[in-house]
Amino acid sequence: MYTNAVRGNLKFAGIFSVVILILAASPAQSQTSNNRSFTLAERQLLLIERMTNSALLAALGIDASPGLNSIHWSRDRFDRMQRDLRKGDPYLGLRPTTEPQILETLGRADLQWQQYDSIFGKIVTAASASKAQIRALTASHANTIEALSQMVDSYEYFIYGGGHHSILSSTINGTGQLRASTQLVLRRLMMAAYSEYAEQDREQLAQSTRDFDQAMKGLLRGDIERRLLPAATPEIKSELLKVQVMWKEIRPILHSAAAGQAVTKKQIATVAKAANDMAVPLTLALIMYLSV
Amino acid sequence: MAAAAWAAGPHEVPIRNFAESTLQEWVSSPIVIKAIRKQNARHAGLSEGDIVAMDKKWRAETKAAKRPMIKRVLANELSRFLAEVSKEQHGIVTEVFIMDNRGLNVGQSAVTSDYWQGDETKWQKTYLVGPGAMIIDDVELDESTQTFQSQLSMSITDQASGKVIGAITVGIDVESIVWANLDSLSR
Repeated sequence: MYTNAVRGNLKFAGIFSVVILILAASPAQSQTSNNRSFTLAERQLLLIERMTNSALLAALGIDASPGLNSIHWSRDRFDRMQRDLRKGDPYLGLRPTTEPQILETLGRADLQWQQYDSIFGKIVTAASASKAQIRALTASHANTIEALSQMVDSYEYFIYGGGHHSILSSTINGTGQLRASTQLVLRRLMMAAYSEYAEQDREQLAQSTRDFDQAMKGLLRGDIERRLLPAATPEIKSELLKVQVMWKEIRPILHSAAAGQAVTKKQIATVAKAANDMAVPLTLALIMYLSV
Repeated sequence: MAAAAWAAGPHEVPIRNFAESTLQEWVSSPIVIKAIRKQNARHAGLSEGDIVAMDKKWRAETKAAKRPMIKRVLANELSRFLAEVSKEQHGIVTEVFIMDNRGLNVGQSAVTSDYWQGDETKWQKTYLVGPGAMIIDDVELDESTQTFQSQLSMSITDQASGKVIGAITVGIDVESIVWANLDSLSR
C-alpha cells in the first residue's frame, strides 16, 4: 500500500509539472474566464437542488429548509446567472456565450426552469405542499436538472475545446460538482425515506454516497482516472478536510437509509444542516482554485 | 499563486479593496451623512425601552401582511440610494444597511430581520471602536439570498466633525467578488 502511495505521488509530481507547463503556455485570462463560466453553470445546478430540497423539507415539516419565502431571491439569482452566462459580464470576467450549441442548451434550461418555477411558485404561495405538488415538483426537478446538466456538459465540451481541458480545470469542475452533490445526497436521502419508489431511490442514494466518497478522496489525494489533482495548497487541503469531517459524520445515516433502515426527521435535519455547512468550505476551496 | 492573500481567507483581500474604494465612496455621500445626522438627532432622547419596543414592532412586521414601519424605512431617500448603488455592483452586493449611533437602521436595500443591530458585532466592533474600524465575517450560506456571503461592516465618519456617526454593513457574494478580482489575485 505504501509503495502504491509513493507511486501515486510520483505520478502526481509528473502531472503537476504538466499543469505548470500548461498554465505557462495557455492564455491565463481565457482559462479563468472559461472556469468562471463553467463554475457559474454549476451554481445553477446547486441552486435548483437547494430549492427542491427546501420544498421537500417543508413538506416533511422539518425546519431546516432555506425558507420558502426566499424564493424571490432564488428566482432573481437564477435569472441573473442565466443572463450572465448568455451575455457575459466583463466586470466579473465572464465572457458572452457565442457557441450555438451552448446557446441551444441555455434555451432548453430556460424553458425547463420556467415550468419548474411555476410549480414551485404555487408551493410558495400556499406555504405548503401536497403529495401531488411534490410529485410534480420532483418530476419537473428531474427535467430541469437534466437540461442544466446538458448545459454544464456543453460548456465543458465546447469552451474547453472538445473537452480537452487542463487537469486544473477538471479539478475545479470536480470541486463544483462535489458542492452540488451536498444537496443531491440530501434529496436522495429524503426520496429513499419517503418516496413511492423507495427501492430505486435507495439504490440511487447508495450510488450518490459512493460517488461522494470517491470524489472527496480524489480531491484530497488526487485521482488520475477522474483527472483530479491532489489538494493544490495547504489552504485548499484544510478546507477539504473540514468537508471530510462533516461528511464522515453523516455518512452512517446515508448508509443505513440506503440499506433500508428507517430514517427519522431528526436525521434528515442533521443531513440538511451538514449539506449547507459542507458547501461553505467547498466554496472557499473553489475560489482558491480559481485564483491558482 | 496568491498564497499570502489567502492567509485570512480568500475573500478578505478583495472585500477589503471593495471597502476602501466603492464603499468609502458610498459612505462619503451627502445623502448618507445627512440621513444619519438627522436620525441621530431624532433618536437622541430614546430610552432603552423605546429601542426594544421599536425592534419588537419591526420584527413583528417582518411576519405580517401590513408593514407600515418597514415600508417607511424602505421608502426613504437613503434606502432608495442604497438599493440603487448596490444594484450597480454586478450581483456582488446582496444587501446593505446603515445604522445610526444607537445601532438602529437608518436605511437599507432589503428587509432585515431586526431593526436594532446594537447588540451585534457588526455595530459594536465598528461604531464603538471608532474611525476606520472594519470587520469582515467568515463566509456563510445566507438562506435569504441563497448566496455564499461574507458581511463587511465598517464605521461611518462625518468628515466635517471627524466623528463616527454610524456604521454600514454590506453582504458580499464571495464568489462574485473573487471573480471580479481574479486578475489581481492570480499570479
